[in-house]
This record gives sequence, C-alpha cells and structure tokens, in this order.
Amino acid sequence: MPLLEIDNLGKAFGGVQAVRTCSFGVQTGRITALIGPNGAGKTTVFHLISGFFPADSGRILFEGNDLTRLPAWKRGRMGLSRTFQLSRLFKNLTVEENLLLALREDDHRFWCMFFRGRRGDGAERKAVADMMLFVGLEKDPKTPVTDLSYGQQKLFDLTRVLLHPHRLLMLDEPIAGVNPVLRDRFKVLLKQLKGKGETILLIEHDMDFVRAVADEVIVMDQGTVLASGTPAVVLKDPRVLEAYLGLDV
Amino acid sequence: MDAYLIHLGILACIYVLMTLAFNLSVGYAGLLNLGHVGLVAVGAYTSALTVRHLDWPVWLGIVAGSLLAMTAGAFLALPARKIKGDYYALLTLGFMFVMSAVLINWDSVTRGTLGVPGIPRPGGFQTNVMFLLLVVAITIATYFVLARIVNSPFGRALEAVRDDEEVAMALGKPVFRLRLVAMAVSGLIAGLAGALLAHFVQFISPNTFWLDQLVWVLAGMVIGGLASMPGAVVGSVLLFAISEPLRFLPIPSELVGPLRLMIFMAILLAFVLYRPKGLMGRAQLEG
Amino acid sequence: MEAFLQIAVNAVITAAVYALVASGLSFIYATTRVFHLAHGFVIAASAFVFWWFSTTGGYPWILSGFGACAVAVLLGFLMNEFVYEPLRARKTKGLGYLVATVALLMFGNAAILAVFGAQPRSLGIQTHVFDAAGVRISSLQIGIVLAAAFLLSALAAFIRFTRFGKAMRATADNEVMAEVLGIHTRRVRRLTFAIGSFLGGVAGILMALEFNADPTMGVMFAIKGFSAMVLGGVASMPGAVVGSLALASVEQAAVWFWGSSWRNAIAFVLLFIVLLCKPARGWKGLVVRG
Repeated sequence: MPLLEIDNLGKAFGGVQAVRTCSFGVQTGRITALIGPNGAGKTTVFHLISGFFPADSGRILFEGNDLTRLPAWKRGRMGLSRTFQLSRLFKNLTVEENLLLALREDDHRFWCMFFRGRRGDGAERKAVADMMLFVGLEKDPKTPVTDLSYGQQKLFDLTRVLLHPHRLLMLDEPIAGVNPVLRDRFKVLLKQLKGKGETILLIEHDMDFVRAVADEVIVMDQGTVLASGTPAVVLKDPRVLEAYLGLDV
Repeated sequence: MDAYLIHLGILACIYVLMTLAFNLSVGYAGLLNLGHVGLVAVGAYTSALTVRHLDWPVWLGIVAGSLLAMTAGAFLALPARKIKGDYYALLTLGFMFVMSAVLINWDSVTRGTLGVPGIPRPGGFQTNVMFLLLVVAITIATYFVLARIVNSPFGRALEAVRDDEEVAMALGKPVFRLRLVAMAVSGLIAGLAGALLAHFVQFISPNTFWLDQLVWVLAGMVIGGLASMPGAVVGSVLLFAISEPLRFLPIPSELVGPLRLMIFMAILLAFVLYRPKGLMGRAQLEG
Repeated sequence: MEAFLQIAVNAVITAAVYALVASGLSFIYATTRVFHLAHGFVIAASAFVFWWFSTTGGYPWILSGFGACAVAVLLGFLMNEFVYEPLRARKTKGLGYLVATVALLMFGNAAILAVFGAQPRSLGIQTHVFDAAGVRISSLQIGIVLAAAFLLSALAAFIRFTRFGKAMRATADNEVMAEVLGIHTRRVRRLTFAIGSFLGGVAGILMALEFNADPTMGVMFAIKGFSAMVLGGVASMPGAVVGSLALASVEQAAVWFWGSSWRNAIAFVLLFIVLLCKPARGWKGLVVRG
C-alpha cells in the first residue's frame, strides 16, 4: 500500500482547471519526484495535499486514512511535513524559535505550556542543534531568522521539515536557485535520508538532480499525470519530452 | 497634589491593563481588534449593573464582568477564520459601534446616554490610596501572568501564527484554537480593566467607551511597540505623562480633549511613519 | 404603501450622498490600495468650511462651494503626499496604512472640534417641498440626487475615455507594469486623491445644505462609505453605487421602524452578515468588476 495516495484529484480556480483527474501514489521509503512544465499544477497538488484549500473532487489517502476533508493543521499533525517554493519564515522570531516550533506539536495547550520557557528545555535545544549539524546549517541559533542567506534558508527549510514529527517529507523545489556545491550537498542529504527510511515527495525542475536522487518520477502536464515510472524510462518518453521541452519528437 | 497623583496612578494602571490586553491580541495574536474598547465596556457595564441592580457583591460583579468580556473576546476570534487584515479590523470596530448602540438604546437597563451613576467601590477599598494599592497589585500580577504566557511555548506558537498562518498550520498548529485562547485572555483582562474603571470613577456612560479611548489605547500600544510587554507599559504611561500637563495650560477646558487627541494622533502618525516598530517592539503591523 | 414609498425616496436621497463618498473611496482604493478612512475628515472639513464661508464669511453659495471643494482637495492631496506616499516608499503593508488613516481621521475629527466646537452648524435653508400622494421630497433633495448622478457619470466617463483614466486603470491593475510602460504612477495617485477628495468635498457640502455640519459626520461617513464600498464590491464604481443603495435602503427602513439611534450600528450589522456569508474566495461584492 502506498504511504500517500492521490485519487482523481480536481481543483479549479475560477475558470481555470488547475488540477484534473490527477492520481498517483507515493511508496514508503522511496524518493518520488513530481515534475512538469511551469503551470502544470504541481504546487497546487502540494497545497491540496496540505489542505490549504479544499479539493473540488477526488480523495487524498495517507496511510489509508482519508485526509480530503481534514483541516490543514490536522494533516500536519498526522505526519505531513512540507517546505515552500520560497522559504516562509516566522520572521520576527529567532532561528531556534522557528525550529522549536516545528519540533513541538503540543504548544497550543495553554496550561501545559504555562510553566515552560519559549527556548524549550535542554533536550529540545539539543535536538535542534543536532539537526542543524546534520543538515549543515551553520548559524548561531539565537540570530533572527531573517539574517539567513538564500542558501541557508534552503537548508533551514530542510531542517524544519525534518524536525517536525513526520511520516512523509514534501519538498517544493528544494534546490531552486542554489549554487552547484549546495546542490551536491542536497543530493547527498536526500540519499542519506532515504537510507534512514524517510519517504520523500519532491517537486523539482533540475533534471540531473531528479535523475540522481529519484526512484520514481511522476510527470504532470495541464493538471493531470502524463506519465510515471523510473527516471530512466520516463525521461525518455517522447510524450514527456514534448510536454516538458516543447520538442517535436 | 498628592491626591491628584494617586488619582492619576489609578487611571494609568487601568490604561496599562487595557494596553497589555490589546497588545496580546494585536502584537502577539496578530489580530487588530478595534473592538477592544467594546470589550472594556462589557466588563464595566456588567459589573456596574449587576452590583447596582441585582445587589451582587462588588467582587462578584468584577468577576462576572471579566468573564463576560472573556466570552465576548472569544466571540471576536470567530470571524478571524475567514476575514483578514483590514476587513477584520473594521469588522471588530463594528463590534464597538454595535455595543455602543445597545448601551444607548437598551435604556431600561443601562439608562442610555444618561449613564450609570453611583457605582460603589469594593469594601475596604473606599479610599483612593487603598484603591491604588489594589489596582497596582492587580496590574503587576497581570503583567507577570501575561509575560509568562507570551514567553511560554504557547506564546511562541501564537507569534508563529501571527507571522505566517499557513506555515503554522502546516506545522500542525491549530491556528483557530490558539487565537481563540489569546482573544479570550485579552477579553478577560480588558473586562477586568473596565470593571475596575467603573468602580473607581463610579460613573460610566456610553461616552466612556468610544473612539477616543480606542485610539488612546491604540496609540499607546503602537508607541510602545508591538509584541513587547514593557513597551505596552511605557507607551501608555508616556501618553499619560504627555496628556496631564495639558490641563494646567491656560486654554479653555473644552479645548483640552480635542487638543490631547490631536497630539496623540500626531505622535501615533509620526511613529507609524518613522518608527513602525515603536520604542521597544519586536514586530510590525502587517495585514 | 405610502410608508414604503417614503422610505424608498429617503433611501435614494441618502444613497446619493453615500455613493459620492463610496465611489471616492473606491476610486482611491483601486489605484492606491489604501482604505482611506480619513476621507471622512475631508468630508466633514468641507461641510464646516462651506458653512463658515456662507454664514460668517457671507459669500454666495457658489463661492463657498468652490472654497470648500478647494479645501477638500488640498486636504486629500496633503494626506497622500505626506502620509501615504512615505508609507509606500517604506513598503508598508496593509495594517500600517490602516492605523495611519485612523490616526488622520481622529486627528481631523479633533481639529474640527477644536476649531468649530461640538455643536452642529445649520445653514437653516427653506426649500420648496413637493407632496405627491403623501410622499414628500424637497427641491434641494432633488438637486442632491441630480448633482450626485451628474458627478458620478462624469467620473465614470473620465475613467473610461480619457488618457489619464487609462493610466489610472493601468496603475490599478499592475503598478510595476504601469511604471515600466512610462506611466508616472505617483502623479496618477496624486490626481486620484484630488478627484476622490473633490467628490468627498461635494458630499460634505450637500450634507451641510440638507442637514447640517456636524463634527461627528467625519467618522460616520468613513464608516458608511467603507461599508457601502465593501457591500457593492471594492474598486468598482457601479459596486459603490449599488452598495450605497443597499446600505441606504436598509438604514432608512431601520430608522423608520426602530428610530435613528440604531443608524450607525446598521452599517456594521450589514457588513458583518455580508463578510461572514461570502464564499471564502472569489467574492467581489454585489457587482463584479467588469
């Protein structure tokens, strides 16, 4: 059984059908890449899975549970952990506070939280520091989060999704606009994570990167799935080349 | 002169309470609740009317006023699910207008524009000195409880929701529940401040809870700075310090009110323009 | 039936003034994305200046009208130049503008109280009242409706047909793109504020003629204009007119049956219902912008 199963998903904005009859599955322990030309509906699918807006039709199953009607925060709590195309930070807080927010899931409990500090306890701070070390985010945890450079923001995003208790990582263009060194670092990191048994669904435009890390590729075009399979097979499919590159093969 | 200073101290403490409560909803929860003074009015009128008409003990009246304002505060969190930014601010401003209309029109209970006179002081706190001790104690206690809340993981989660609602949701934060609690606490303190005001001044009318008071609290908070507890105190005390000497200037008494408001608004504008984070704020006003 | 007709007539008269205010606000919002609540101050200032010129100054109405409109336009211009433009330069977001505009509105309110005092100022005009089948309407009221209709049509034509109107629409749609195309967006905003404030000035004069100049009218009009604009759909001229009609009708009916003290709360109750019942995305008000 796939960890995440998208079944006939549909979503229209006004007159534009952003996603239509979209179905695919994400297998446990593997890296699945969602690719397709700009405007293919990849990010819309991510938003639908996260629950930022309701689907018009279709179902989203996660570990066999139907998520389709759940509010976004419950989905986050069930183990969906995602990044955004452009880093979105809690910009008046420090790096550490941002990361602690991802780590703790019960901080809305007013009375339980009453006697704790906002900088967490020692174990929490150590978890944050360890994860920053693992990802390679070198920054004083107490600096304002807005001091992070673009590349550091990308690493920060990964640190945050990893700290959030999760079953599935959803990365929206993790290496868009980063330098080649950092790109290689991400390759290594994602493979390491897979080795640890993580399940990853990512959106990416860089085909070399996809070829290097993905076990399975799903190609979207005009809101629906055009092809899927291993990178070797899919990236040679003439339909994919045509949709993606506009090539007349 | 001493008596006058004590009088001022009491009023300043009550304004600090209102500003602290306002800062919780605006600075931390990110909800520009322009109906804040409406919540103060709920506390004041509930306490005054239960004590005057139903002969409840003063303490019970104050508790009832605070609790009802808490409920009203929680109620104001409801539209925040759908309505954001400017629209939310103006909708909550509407709460104040509707409250005022109810106070004016429901005259069989509230005496309308005539107001409620003769509100008793709590037993043992008849003198201004004793009352001052009472409000100072309440203000300090409230300050520390609020400081505890905003410096706990709960306060951190609240600030996350303020900065980016969607990301907070993706991280599993129940955005609505967080805001509901914050608005309820804000309402509770606003109601408490209102009840204390009613029992101190001993006369309230719909005019006591109107736009002038709202922009006063707003100016105090913006000047002190959003999401700053000491800022809320400094901002509201500073406005008191500016406003009081005006009384002693050789100007006609009916000019004092408008002149004070003009000065406050000019300062507020200057801060919005040149120092949007206020004196010690950690966050900015955003939509 | 007579009651119904009288309510309808009263509603149209009130709506005419509201529409002037709401379309000014809407016009300003469309090009600048500012909910210019301090517009209420412009209206009240115009009303008081008009009253002062025509009573104390003893000028004829037409001259007083010009004077009041000039003051209104000047106020709008100054507020844009010295408050909104600096805020824009600092890339301020929504609530910063809102606090600034509330501060301006309350500042203006207090300034009017300080200069003119708290009591309403009436011009005490006698006009001919027509009585048709029990429905009463004065010649002044007919004039108000005609003046509003004329100004709104002129504004619509201006936006639709002139080059400046096109520049305004371009700025409203996409400011950066407009800049790229060589449109001086700052000048566009300046003119927008001038025109919007002129409409507000006229609304203030009409109010002073029909009722009186009242220090509370600034806040009242800010709220009514905003409500009418949101009801009808923001940044839409027909929306502002339809919203004003809707608001004025409900208000007049409420005043007729319950009394005028509920009047200010009605706009908010209506706004509350509309905002809460709207669909989560895609609501454009009663009129969709064409």
